[in-house]
Order: sequence, then structure tokens, then C-alpha cells
Amino acid sequence: MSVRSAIRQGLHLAGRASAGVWALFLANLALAAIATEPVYHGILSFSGHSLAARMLATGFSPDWLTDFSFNGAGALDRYARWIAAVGLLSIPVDAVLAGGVLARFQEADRGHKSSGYFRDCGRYAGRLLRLMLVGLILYWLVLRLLHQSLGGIINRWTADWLDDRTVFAANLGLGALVILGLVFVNLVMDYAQVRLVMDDESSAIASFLGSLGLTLKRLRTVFAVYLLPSLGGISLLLLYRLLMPWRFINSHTVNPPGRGWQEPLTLALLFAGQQAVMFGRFWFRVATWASEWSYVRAWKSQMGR
Amino acid sequence: MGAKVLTVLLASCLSVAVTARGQTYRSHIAHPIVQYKMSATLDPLNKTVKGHYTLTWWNHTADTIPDLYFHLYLNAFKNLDSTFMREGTVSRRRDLLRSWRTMPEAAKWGWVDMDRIQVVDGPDLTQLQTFVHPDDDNASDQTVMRIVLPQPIPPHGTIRLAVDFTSKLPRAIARTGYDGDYFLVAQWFPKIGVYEGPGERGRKQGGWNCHQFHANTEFYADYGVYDVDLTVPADYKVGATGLTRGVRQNPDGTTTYNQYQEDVHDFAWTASPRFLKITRKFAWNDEVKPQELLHWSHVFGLPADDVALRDVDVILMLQPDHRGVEDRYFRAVFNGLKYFGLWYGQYPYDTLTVVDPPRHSNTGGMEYPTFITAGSYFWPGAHQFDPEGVTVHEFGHQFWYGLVGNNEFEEAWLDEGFNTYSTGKVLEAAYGPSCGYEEVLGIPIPNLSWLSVSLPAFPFADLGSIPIGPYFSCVPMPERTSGRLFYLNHAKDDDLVRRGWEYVDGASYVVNSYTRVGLTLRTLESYLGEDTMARVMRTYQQRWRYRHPTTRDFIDVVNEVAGRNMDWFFNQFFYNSDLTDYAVASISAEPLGGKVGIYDENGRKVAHSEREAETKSAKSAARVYRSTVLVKRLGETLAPVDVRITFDNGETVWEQWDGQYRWTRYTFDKPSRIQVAEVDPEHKLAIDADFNNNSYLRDVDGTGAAKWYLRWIFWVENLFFAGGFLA
Ligand SMILES: [Zn+2]
Repeated sequence: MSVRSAIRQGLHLAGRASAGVWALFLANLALAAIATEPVYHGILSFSGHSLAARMLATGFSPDWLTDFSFNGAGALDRYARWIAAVGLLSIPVDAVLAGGVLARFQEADRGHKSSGYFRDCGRYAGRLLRLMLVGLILYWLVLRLLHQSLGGIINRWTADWLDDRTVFAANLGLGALVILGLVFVNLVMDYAQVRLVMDDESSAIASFLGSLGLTLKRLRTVFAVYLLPSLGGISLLLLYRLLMPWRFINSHTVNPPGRGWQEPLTLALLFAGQQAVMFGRFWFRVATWASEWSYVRAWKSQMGR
Repeated sequence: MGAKVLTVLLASCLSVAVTARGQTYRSHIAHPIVQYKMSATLDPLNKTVKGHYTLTWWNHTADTIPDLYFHLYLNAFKNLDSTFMREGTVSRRRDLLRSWRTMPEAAKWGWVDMDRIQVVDGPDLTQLQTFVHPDDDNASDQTVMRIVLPQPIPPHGTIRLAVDFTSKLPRAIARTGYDGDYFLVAQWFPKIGVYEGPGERGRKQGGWNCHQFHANTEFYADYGVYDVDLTVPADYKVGATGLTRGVRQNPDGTTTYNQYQEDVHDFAWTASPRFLKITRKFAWNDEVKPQELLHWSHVFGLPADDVALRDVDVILMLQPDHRGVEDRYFRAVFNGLKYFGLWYGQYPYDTLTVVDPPRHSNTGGMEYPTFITAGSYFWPGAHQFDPEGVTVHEFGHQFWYGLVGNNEFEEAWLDEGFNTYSTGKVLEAAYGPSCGYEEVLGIPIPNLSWLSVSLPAFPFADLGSIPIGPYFSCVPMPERTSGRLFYLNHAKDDDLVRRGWEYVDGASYVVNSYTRVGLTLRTLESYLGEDTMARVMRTYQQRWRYRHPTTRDFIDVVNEVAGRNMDWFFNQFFYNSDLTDYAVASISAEPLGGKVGIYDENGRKVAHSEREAETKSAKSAARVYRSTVLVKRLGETLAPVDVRITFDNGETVWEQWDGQYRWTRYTFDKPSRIQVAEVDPEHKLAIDADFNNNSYLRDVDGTGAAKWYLRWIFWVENLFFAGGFLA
């Protein structure tokens, strides 16, 4: 099957999984809101009565951050730890929610009605979590071996080089290698999730090995099917960067006399814009799985498996 | 052979060309204390410099001097038992040494020997050298050497000494040494100490001021003449203090450069075959607009001629891979020459040499007379002051350290602090504020080096930090309060005025010599006004050029020029380690509606309810509110502050508070309610520990928090999205 038709079928398939897109989107929004709530609360209690509150509505000042860090000692570290903790929680949550999304593709394949999104999530949860552990170990290895160990070696190796440019090139090469490593693991894990649900009875390890075999055999196609829908999501961030009217937003988050609605309305529009981007990103996320699904299914029927 | 002839010819042309520029500098010192006539030869293979000098030293005091003191700075790098190394046990320098474990010891360390010292036409003193340690009891330290003279130097007498020395350069860990074929040769020759007569710098008795080399201290020396011949392999490019008066090719394949400079107190040089040596002229008439000259002559009450600058040859010794930064270096130096010159008086010398050191050479960001080392990268961010910040700063030392020669060992803040203040002013004037983001390939990326939160190392495998800076927008980084967080984190470590090696640690030395002084001088400027402050700085610079002032001398100039006694200011901000923090603790506004409670009316007890009063007040056209403001002094320092109160109808009231007691309260009965109160609304106290509490709004304003919450949610959603991808 060609990359193009895999993606075309994938986009079509993704349309059937809107419940999964919503579940992923809302779960992540809720987790992010919980993770950053202390930031909101911290800023409000520190600066709610200060003129700094008005400055923060329209901009930012390094002096304010100095005040905040010095007079609320440790707050920034606490926020970071809390965000990291909730972030760790989000990984298994996303893994479990993936099961429901992929089951919807199964349903389309077999033409029978599945037993509901969350029931499907539960059905694959155990194996998807085990698969997640395999993935986390591999990511850790990539970071440990490439980023830390090789990075350390490069640092020692280039310590006496006099020319910045060659050192920069060496580090750039390392950075590219780390990214390639992460992308490769991600690629294998993505297809492993797909296979785990598609094969229905297959174990986490078997799905992983099957995916690894497929990836190594058909690297270029497999990668293209994975990459193109993912790029759709990334391009949304670019659009956000280009289109978000910060100047307008910053000048409208103050209430001129008699226009008390201006500031809440501006914030609501900002929120809507941001969340539209996020919803789009999750939609493309699901579309990536769907394209992979289409490709794997076609490949399997071709192989007669 | 032909090539050789050509080289010699070229060299002689070059020699003529260089001498043709000639010296235009006129000495300002009638009787220099030191005159060095020196020759030195670099052996790049063995990393040594063999040198000889004749030193003519003048006793400018009425004391009879029995001995001589010399700095042998390079011995700080001789072994781990020098005071420099012992004090720096927990420093980055010590870590560097550890990381060079595989390097042969001889390559790592440096030292200097005075092979011979003899009074010209007099006795040989070589055997009389003894190491002394005036600052600590470290008998192993060899950075100060003393010779008891067979015959003392009479009052106002002169002694001439002939000295042979060998300097082994260390692999540079601090300011001086080598890195491959790059040499930065500084603190390299045996250098005579400073003899201070009674009354000088507040001394009761005359004596030598010759401190050991400490981990956190810099230098101190007398002004005089340096006439130095530097011999290096012919392919090496040389930059050095002073003017190149001549270049001579030697038959042995070496080249000798004659460098000459009067009225300076040190001599440093650099050599490497890889330098690009680029000279541009600072043509002051092109750089300074007539109206700028007029403005400053008006501020200082001086004729325009007295504010005029002079042309300077700026020589850049550039790393070949830093070509792209060439213009930025020159612009930075030209801005320094312009603004420092306009504000404090012209840079008087003919040349300024700027060294762009190679990466990891540990020689960047240092100052010597007419010679500075800066530092850059082949691809610096467009919106960061790099290399501008370090270049302007090191150039600024030509004024604070170079022309005004305070004792850096004992009062580092007089140069580093003044320079922090001045550098900030120049950067503001020349570039405006820097931005909190980097432009990479046309895409603005938040600068990761500030506003970031470190991630715990586990399970992130040392990924560093997440930037929390504001995305994609230029956030001005004000110079005025630059480094305030660093200062606050070390505010209680030490008093500001202290001898360099007596601060609790390196960070406290840096805070009290640089950051805190910058903030304090900005605060002083707010109290005096910008023009008065400019006159203070210029008067101090002009009065103390080519001399050695103290903190007290500066305070005297402040009091004199300001026309009022500012001792209170220095007592509050210099001679202690107190925090400054004024705050509006609360405000309130209550309607004055009339009677509430039981009142005697016509011989009867009459009850008035609150509701009754409110209804009456709401109906009344002449409604009045009682607004109160409680202002507190949360810090220990005492300073007069302004208080600004704004009411709902836009009316503002200014109050002045002497800021002495712990709190004060203001009460206003007005037709409009108080909306906000601010103490020190203009942030005159740049050093305040909390600007956030300087104001108090009657009603909580949650918009800022809500907006940043939304932005954070979005960032974290994307972060989790990326994380979810992993699952
Ligand atoms: Zn400095």
C-alpha cells in the first residue's frame, strides 16, 4: 500500500474516532489545568492586590519575576515538580485512552459495534501500560546513552578545540542523533500500539517485536506514514505562532471604563484559540494512528497474515 | 630566499607605517613613580617568557624606605598551596584543574622567578629575596617578595634596578596563560608594589601596599612609563598595552615589537598566529553629534572644547571563526569611547586593543591599561548584549581602574561597581534594553538562559530546564535593576565595603563589588537627579585621574557636588548588609454616612442604624469616604520615600514619608474612594527587595493571573502532548 493511500484511508478512519479525540483532548486539558493551578493561585495571591496584576495582564516584567522568586522562595521549584508529577501521570492516562481510539478502528474493520469507548480503553489498558513501560525504558536508554554518555564524551573530546564552529557542529550532530533516536523509538512504539489492538490477543512484547520487525523492513514507508500526519499537528503550532494576535490580546486585557466585558471576552477568545489548536493537534495525533493502522492492515493482508 | 627578502622589505615598510602614526599622547604625570624599560621573548614551545628590565623607581614620599616589595603574581599558579588556590578550593577554577588530570603537570602550572636583581651600578640583591605573606599565614604562598636593602632609599630618592626574570605561563585558568598557540600574557613580570606615604588613602604611617594574589582579588599599582620590546616568532600576531612604535624582523625568524605607553599602571599582551588583527579608527567627530556635545557641556557647565573627545586607533585581535562579530565589537568599543568620553572626560590614550579570546581559554573579560579581553561566540544572539556587554564593561575599566586607580584588592567596588553602573548606562544609551529572547534563523525563541525552571534530574536524564519566559515577544530587560535577584539572594552575606578576600565567598565578592553597587548607584542617582549624578561622576573621575582614591574620597565628591550631606545614604547602603523594603500594607475606603449607634439627642438616647446611615449617604450629593493607607517599612535600611495615592475619580495625592519608623498611616476624607496607593512609585530605590508590594489595589485584579494561567495551560498541554506521544 502506498503512503498516500494509507494516509487517505487514515484521515477517513480518524473521522470515526471523534470520541477518542475528545477524550484525549479533555483529559489533557484537565491534567494541564490541574498541573498549572498552583501557578494561577500563586500569581493571584502574590500580585492580586498589586499594580503588578495590571502589568501582568498586558505584558511581563523581569523585575516582577525577581520579586516573585525572591519573596516566594521555592515556589518556582514547587511548580516545576508538580507539573512534572502531573506530567508523569499523563503518560499512562494517554496510554490507556489510546486503547479506546484504536478499538474504534478495529470496529470499522470488522464492521461490528464495539462495546463503548471507555470499555475498550479498559480492555487494552493492561497490555498498553506494559507496552508503555517498554517504551519508557527505551526512551531512557536513548537519553542515557546518546544524550548523556555521548554528550559527555563529546564535551571532553572538544574541550581543547579552539574553533567554536566545529564544536557547535559536533554538538549539533549529537542533537540530531538524539532526536533521531527518540523519533525511532517513538515510531516503533506507535506501530506497536496499533498492532497490540489490531492483533487483539497479542502481548505487549509481541506487539513491540512485530512493530520493530516491520519498521526495520519497511523503514521508509513506515516513517512517511507516521511523519506526514504528525507534521499536520506541528504545523498548527506554527499557525498559532503566526496568527495569534498577541498585540491585540495584550491591549484588550484591560477594562476601559464602562466596558467591563472586554477583558473576560478577550481571555475567552484567547482560551478558545489555544484550545482549538490543541484539539487539532489531538485530531492529527489520532489521524497518525489511523494512517498507521491502515498501512499495517494492508501490509498484513498482503502478507496473508 | 626571495620570500625572505620580501618579508624583510615588507616588515621595514610596516615599521615605517606604524611609526608614522606616531604618539600624540602627552603625559599628565610630571614625575612618574615607575619607569620600566623592558625586553621579553616568548618561547611558545616551552610556554615561557624570558625577560629583562631596568626599573627606575621614585620614592615620592618623605619617608626613608628600607625595603622593596614585589608582586610575583604568576606564583599563584605554581601549586595548590598558593593562597590563590587554597582560597579557590570550591571554585570553578579548581574544577578546571581537576578536569585536566591527564595534562602533564609542567604544562598546567605557572610560576615566575626573579633570576637576578641588582641595583644599577650597585650591589646584587638576588640572594636577599624572601617571600612574605602580609594577608594570611600561608607560608607556602610566593606571590609577594620582599628585599631588605643594604642601603635604604632616601626621601624623594630614586633607585634603579636591573632585573632578569623567567615566567612560565600556566594553562590559563584565570586571566593569564596559554591555550594551545594562544598566549595571554598578564601579571607576568615581577612588579613592584605601591609605597603609600602617610596620609595617602587614609594611612597614618607610610608603608608598602603589596597584597598577595587572592582568589577573588585583582590588582593595584603605581602609574608610570612602560617601554617594552616583545619578541615572538615571526608568524605570531601581537597585541599589547600602548602604541606600537616599531617592528623589527630578526635574523633568527623572530619579530620584535616595541610597545610604549606613559601614565599607565600595568602592561599586558597577547600573541597567537591565528589572530585576525584589524584596526579601525574611532573618529570622534563622526560619532558624536554637535547637539550631544552641547548637551553635555551644558550639563557640566563646561566649554564644549573641554567635553570634546579625541580620535583613537582601535585594534581588534579576532579569532578567525568570529569574523561575523567584528562589527559588533567595534560598535561596542566606539560606543564606550563615545559615552564614557562624553560623561567622564575623553579617553586620553592613542590606542585601545581588544582581544577576542578562543573558547575555554579562561582569559576573557579582563582589563589592562589600553588593552582589554572580551569574549564572544561565532553565532551570538542578535538580541543579547554579547559581545557588547563584556566589551563595554572591560572598556569602562579604562576609566574605573585605568585612569582612576583605586586599590582593587581593598575596594574592588570602586572600579567593578562603578563600571557596572556606567556599563549599564552606556548600554541603555547606545542600544536600549536587551530582549528576553533569541532570534534563531529568523524565529524568535525565548532565551533559555533566563526565566527557566530546572527539571529534576530523574527521570528526565538531565534534560536541563523548561523555559518559562514569555513566548515570542521582546521583554525588555532593564539595566537599571540588572542582577537584582542575584543581589537579593546574597544580600545578607557581607557588607558592601570590605577587602576583596574577606567576603564570605566568590558570589558575595561579585555581589558586593558589582551587582549591589550598580543597584545602589542607580538609587543614589534617583535621589540626586540624573544631571547631578553625572556631575558627581565626572568630578570624581577628573579629580582622581592617575591617582588612588578611596571610598571616602568618593563620598566627599558626592557631598560637595550635590551640595548636601549624603553620608546617611552611604551609611544605609554601603556599610551594612541590610535589606530595603517599603510596602503598602493595606488600604481601605469607608463611606462617612453619619451616625451609627446610640447618640444623646435632646436629652434622649436615640438609636441610628447602619442601614439608615447608608441610605442617607447614598441619597446625599455630598457623599464622603474615609480612605486610609498603611505604609510599612519591612526592611532595615532607612530612606525617605514618596507615597502616591490615587482615587476613583482620578485625583492623585503625593505624600512624603521620612521612612524612619516601622509604619505610617494616611487618612483622607474625600468624595471619591481610594483606588490604589503606592510607596516609592518611581522605584527610586532600585535596590528594593520587593516592588510588587510597593502598591496596593483596593479591589483584587485577577486578570493577570488568569491570563498567565491560560498561557501556562497551553504550554503544559503541549508538553504533556509531547509526553503522551511517548506512551
Ligand atoms: Zn570588571
